Amino acid sequence: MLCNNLIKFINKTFQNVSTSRMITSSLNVRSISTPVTQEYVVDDTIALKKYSDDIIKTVNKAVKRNNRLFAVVHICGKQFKVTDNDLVLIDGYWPPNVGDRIKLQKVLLVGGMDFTLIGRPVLNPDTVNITATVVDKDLSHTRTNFKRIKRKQYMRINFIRKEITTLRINSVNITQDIDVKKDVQEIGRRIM
Amino acid sequence: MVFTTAMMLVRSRGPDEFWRKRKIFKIAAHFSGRRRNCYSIAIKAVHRALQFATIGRALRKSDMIVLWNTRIRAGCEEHGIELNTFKEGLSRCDIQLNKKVLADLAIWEPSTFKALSDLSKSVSIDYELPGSEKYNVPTNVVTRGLLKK
Amino acid sequence: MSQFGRVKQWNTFARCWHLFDATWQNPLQCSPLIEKYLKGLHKPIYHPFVDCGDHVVIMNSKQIAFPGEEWRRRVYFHHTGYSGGASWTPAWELHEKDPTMIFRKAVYHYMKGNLFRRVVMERLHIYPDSNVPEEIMENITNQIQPLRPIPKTLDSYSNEEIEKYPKIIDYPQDYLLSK
Repeated sequence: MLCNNLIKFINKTFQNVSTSRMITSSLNVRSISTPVTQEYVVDDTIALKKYSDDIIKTVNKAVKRNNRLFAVVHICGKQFKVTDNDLVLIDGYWPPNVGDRIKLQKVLLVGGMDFTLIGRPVLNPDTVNITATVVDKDLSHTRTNFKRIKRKQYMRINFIRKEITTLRINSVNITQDIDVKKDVQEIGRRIM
Repeated sequence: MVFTTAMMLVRSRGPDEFWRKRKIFKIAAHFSGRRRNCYSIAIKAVHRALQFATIGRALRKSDMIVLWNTRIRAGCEEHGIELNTFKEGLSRCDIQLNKKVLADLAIWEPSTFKALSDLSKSVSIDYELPGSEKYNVPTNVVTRGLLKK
Repeated sequence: MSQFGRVKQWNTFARCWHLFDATWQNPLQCSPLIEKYLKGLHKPIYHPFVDCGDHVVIMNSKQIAFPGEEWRRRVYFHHTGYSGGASWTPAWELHEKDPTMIFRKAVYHYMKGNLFRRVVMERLHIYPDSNVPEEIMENITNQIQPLRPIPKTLDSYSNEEIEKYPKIIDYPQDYLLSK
């Protein structure tokens, strides 16, 4: 019984296939299962390159004007938005001593009045130069950590003073043109 | 004449009572009424205040994150982009600016924020992220398909 | 604060006036949007302690739209304070009595119940039609985009548009559509 049904089924499919094939051959109709679309792809690489080169030229000119720049700098796990003569307070243990002149390496963003340079994630340290001096190394004001659970005779008081460093940002500069690339590029660890 | 009984009745509750209480009164100096002058009332008020200060210091961190997010969302809306698309676009470009700095830029550097939002838009269109259908391709951003990995 | 500092302060925290056209809009859907502008959440300088909200002028509140059975099913409760003074008014009845009440209640009840609410509601101005007083119209600098698109009614199509519209078949000349 099953065998018969199976044979009938196979015959049916065979018939279907053959008839459809016949139809197609006689009418020359293409079986459209998915619509075919055509796109005109415009090759605008040259125009885009010219556009981007123009922008780079304008930015280089703006850089040479030496206006005040701001930068987003990553120090000791935190990010700060800094300009010239800013004081930055850094919480926690940080090795540099008082009076050290530091060049901040992890610069995420530099901007001026007319342009911004966005690093992915960090900008080239040869292009951007941010110098800072460590002004002060001290302990923070005393923070009182007080825990109490009412009616349970549980009371704990703890005084904590974290190390803080005050940093004065001396200057935020862009030292060279943006599109300057060295012949030999460094990959890997930079000295922090 | 020696009055030994009187001397035996006088007892010291502790030689440093004054300084022990002064620590509490110093913290309670700006409280109102008897809470700054009477010890047994002041100590309760001081305990309450120190508890709130400790709890508040931990809450401040989450409150600041909420505030930064609100500010960044407002900045994104000014430039016609959704917050989630903005964040996703930036992270796909490897731009690792944190919320505090993004909120500062949204307030103080609107043109930089506009540049970041335009960049996010074009990156989200390149990657075909969920919310990017309604954005027009920004004409001022040239990616040349290089941002898509 | 210096003179220049004061100018900057006024410039930053000056209250703007926004206009919102409520034709065909659902007040329950729009209240988050209106609340955002009233609280100042559309500004990057927002802070909950600082009162940086703006004024919002709503016009055509008579033409608001509720979905489905809302006009009949939504009831507003009021108690006079005296015994037996409780009353439940359906939305259509309230709208007839005062066309601005529904929108005002929608925004009021969407807001959080803090002391700020009453102050902020003073800055919401609702008008039943497009007759907004001149003093207020002068202040308006921005229009808030409506959430729902306004559908075009059949009456609003002009004769030329009807004639130009493509047709497959047409009724015969002597066919009576309606009496």
